[in-house]
Amino acid sequence: MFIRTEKLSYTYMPGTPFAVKALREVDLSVARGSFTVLLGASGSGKSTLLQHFNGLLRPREGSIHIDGAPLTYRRGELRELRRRVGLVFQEPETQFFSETLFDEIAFAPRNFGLSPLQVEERVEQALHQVGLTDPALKQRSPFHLSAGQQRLAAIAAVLAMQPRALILDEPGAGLDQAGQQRLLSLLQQLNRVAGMTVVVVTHRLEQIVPLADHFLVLHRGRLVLEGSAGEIFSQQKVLQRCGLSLPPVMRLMQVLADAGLPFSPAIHSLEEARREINRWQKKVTSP
Amino acid sequence: MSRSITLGSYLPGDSFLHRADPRFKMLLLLLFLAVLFLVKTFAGLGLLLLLLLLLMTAGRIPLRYLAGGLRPLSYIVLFTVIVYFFFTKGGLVLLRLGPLTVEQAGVTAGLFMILRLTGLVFISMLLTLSTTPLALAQAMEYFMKPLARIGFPAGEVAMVMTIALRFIPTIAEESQRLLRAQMARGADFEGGFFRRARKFAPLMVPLFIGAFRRADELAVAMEARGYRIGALRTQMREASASPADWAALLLALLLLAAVLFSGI
Repeated sequence: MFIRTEKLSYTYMPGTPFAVKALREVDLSVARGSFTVLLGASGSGKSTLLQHFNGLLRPREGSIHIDGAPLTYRRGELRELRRRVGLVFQEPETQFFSETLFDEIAFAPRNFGLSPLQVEERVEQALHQVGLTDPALKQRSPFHLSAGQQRLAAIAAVLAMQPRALILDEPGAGLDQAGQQRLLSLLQQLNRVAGMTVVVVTHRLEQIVPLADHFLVLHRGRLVLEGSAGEIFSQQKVLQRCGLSLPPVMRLMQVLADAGLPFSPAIHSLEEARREINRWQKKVTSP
Repeated sequence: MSRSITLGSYLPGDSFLHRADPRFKMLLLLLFLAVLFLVKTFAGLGLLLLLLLLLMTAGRIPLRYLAGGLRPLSYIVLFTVIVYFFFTKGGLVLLRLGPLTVEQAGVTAGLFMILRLTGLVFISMLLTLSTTPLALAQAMEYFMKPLARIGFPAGEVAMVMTIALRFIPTIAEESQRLLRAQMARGADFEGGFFRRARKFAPLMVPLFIGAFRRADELAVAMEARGYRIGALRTQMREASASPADWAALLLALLLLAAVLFSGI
């Protein structure tokens, strides 16, 4: 297991009238090299949970193990943890502050004290990974890139640390269809080719389901479901109670299953649904 | 999200302090401050602090919130104490440090000043903790209204104040978010002041960009909803004074008169 939490609880501003219990006794695990999707309505505690994975937030109760070792929150350990677990915030391009794209990507490697030569290498690699290969881009201002390029650059800024896990909070929000597609193939490549553990918060299920092998569902700070696509999406009632809207194909399959027909509600791709319906049709029409 | 409780934050509640007319609360604050600086004896000051504690209890505001307001002022308090201790002379010499002496009058005056400053912070905190920023801005607008006749843009100034107050928590939250986001990229904001100042750009540049973007969006949104400079604006919630408000004002005036004439 790469990430494991035990009875993890977190409260914002405890002891004041503003106290909010954001996480309640969350037990979860994320396997090394897995592609995990974290689902939940807004306010369910997703972002709070993610910030525990690289030590930005410290649990009020419970514990977190990363790579087999429990977090102790010593300063040296935290730095190493943040290098190993890269966290991409929501709208990460709002963090830009440098004059050139090169400096923006170089920020993290420089923070970890790499030599100028190594920094250059890291920037080169990170930009290559996200596909911003035009050498002229490096000296451009990061603020003058297109929205899609900015998002990729912000992810590259985290990849430049060469983390073992990449955690992304709604990485596709606000991007157009092409930008989304590019992002997804980047995540897939990082996971399958580079062997990186990927954890993603997203609302766009139909695109992410084929990539992911593990799902976590949060509802009001509690982990209510955990498992594979089949295990999660056969529980559509629970998902709907958690305020999650499902892709039309899945809803159709659920309707058919509810009508007593032999369809699994976990079917999520259009092709698979068509195949299943055709097969069922043949069976019914043939004598 | 920040855990620190700072001067100027509002604590939701439903006590009589919360319900009182904000305009009266402001007047009462001024009267109380006048009394606080007119009182000459420890007995009088003690009575005032007692009155403060009473208001605090009645307003159901925990002491630690008021005490939290003292923290940013600790340097001022320290400075005051040093000045009074070393530079006010008279009475017994209590301490001799080379050419410097601390004398009884200095200690007395220093302690008196500390209590006075504490009272000042506490009463101001009582106002801001029990009144929403919006209500405060509206009360200010009310008091500035007469100035509108000589061309002072009272409504606009009040709007500026309201917006500024409204965005303090937003900007604070944003700065927390940026702090953590840059920490996730290995930024180290720990260490001394100069170390931190050098690493300001990753925090301040995005914060300013965000603030300007927000200001721009807000301006467009306000214009889209018909906000015009100089136009007459009315308020959805008009503050209205209750008999209790008038009674409190009367009592405060009596207190002021009592302090003035008794010389307590």
